[in-house]
Amino acid sequence: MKLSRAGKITPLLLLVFFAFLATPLPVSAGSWRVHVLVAYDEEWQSIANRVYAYPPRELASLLLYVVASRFWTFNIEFYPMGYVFWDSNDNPTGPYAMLNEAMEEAGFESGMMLGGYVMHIFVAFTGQDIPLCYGLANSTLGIVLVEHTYPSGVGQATDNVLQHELSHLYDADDESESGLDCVMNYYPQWIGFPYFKWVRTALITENWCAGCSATIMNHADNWGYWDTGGGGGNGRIQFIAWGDERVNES
Amino acid sequence: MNRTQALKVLAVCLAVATVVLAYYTVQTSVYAYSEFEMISYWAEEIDYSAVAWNLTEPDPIILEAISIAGPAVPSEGHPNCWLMPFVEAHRNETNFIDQVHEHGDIWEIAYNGTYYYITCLGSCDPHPSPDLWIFPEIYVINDRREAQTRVGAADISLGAVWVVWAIGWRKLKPEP
Repeated sequence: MKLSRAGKITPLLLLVFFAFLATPLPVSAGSWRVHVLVAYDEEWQSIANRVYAYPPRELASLLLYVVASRFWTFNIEFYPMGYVFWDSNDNPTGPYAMLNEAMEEAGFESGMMLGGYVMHIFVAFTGQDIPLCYGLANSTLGIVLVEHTYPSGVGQATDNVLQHELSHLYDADDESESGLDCVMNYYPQWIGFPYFKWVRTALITENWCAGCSATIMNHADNWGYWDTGGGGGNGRIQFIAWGDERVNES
Repeated sequence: MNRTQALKVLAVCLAVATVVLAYYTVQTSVYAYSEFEMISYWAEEIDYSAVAWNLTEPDPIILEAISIAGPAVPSEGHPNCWLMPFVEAHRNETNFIDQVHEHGDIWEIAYNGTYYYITCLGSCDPHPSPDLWIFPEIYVINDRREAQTRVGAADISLGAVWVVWAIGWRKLKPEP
């Protein structure tokens, strides 16, 4: 049988193409993959639409992405795997009541399955004022409640609050030290003309101090599972299809 | 611009001022001392005060604040921000705030022949239980009474302007 020119070249090209697919990729550093269930309430929906002209889910997703990228340095990656709407009480008795309400309405429990994925932590966004605070976290249950924060003179600081609360899930402690440039530091600072306002240091920095960085690094395994990154570490060739990350969970 | 138009413009301005003032009125009247679980003091030395009262029974927290009394210093890395030497304690560890209340909410004190002005901030407890963490907001306590007085005076003044406006508007209308 005599093959045409195209018939000779096509198998060769296919061979080259599959050879690339089967080559172990050098990217095999891996990271702690944390699945996040995200909730937002009606006030958050309103702020997202009216102030930022974003759908509420996108605003939550954007903020989570911005903050998640700051945790890459610890090999921690947050993945929003599900979004739920949460109808918050407009007259909350206190921060704990709001946190419990969000958790109960979303039906969250760390380790629960949603859409075939294990949910590790829960992040609830609210557009209403949490009494006396900007946000709170329960480091045992893996839940975080964050208020949309926009102090004058500081601007949008919701990402700082989220970063602060997520750090608590990795056992980073609060700090109160004059001049310490750390997102866990709530030492008060005064903003001068034209704002004349007190702010927490944590609202004006996205850095961690050396102590908090070390704590988060040492507790990076608090949540999620180690993901090899699909790069074929240890010399093994892996073909990972979409969604097959689940099999890696311990 | 005729008189009717001028009154309409004034009405819009007054409406805006009313909304803004309503916001501040609510802001200054929501919190009381007892609602705060944490108290922070900053002592600043002043030359003299005619209204200062003598601090004869200081608690350890206000003594610590006085011992590190100092001015605001610029914050490194954060332009337009200032740091002050604050001392923080649980509400039940200090009774200075109650002494201030007994002295008519005056935050100027005399201690060992020196005069100080005390700035006081209140917040909730950032760590109420081992696994619960709270990011507390700050509330300025020391000028709350002054703020309430100022806002109260502004409320009355604005009310008076509205009355004058109503009289002016009524005079515009032709008698039936």
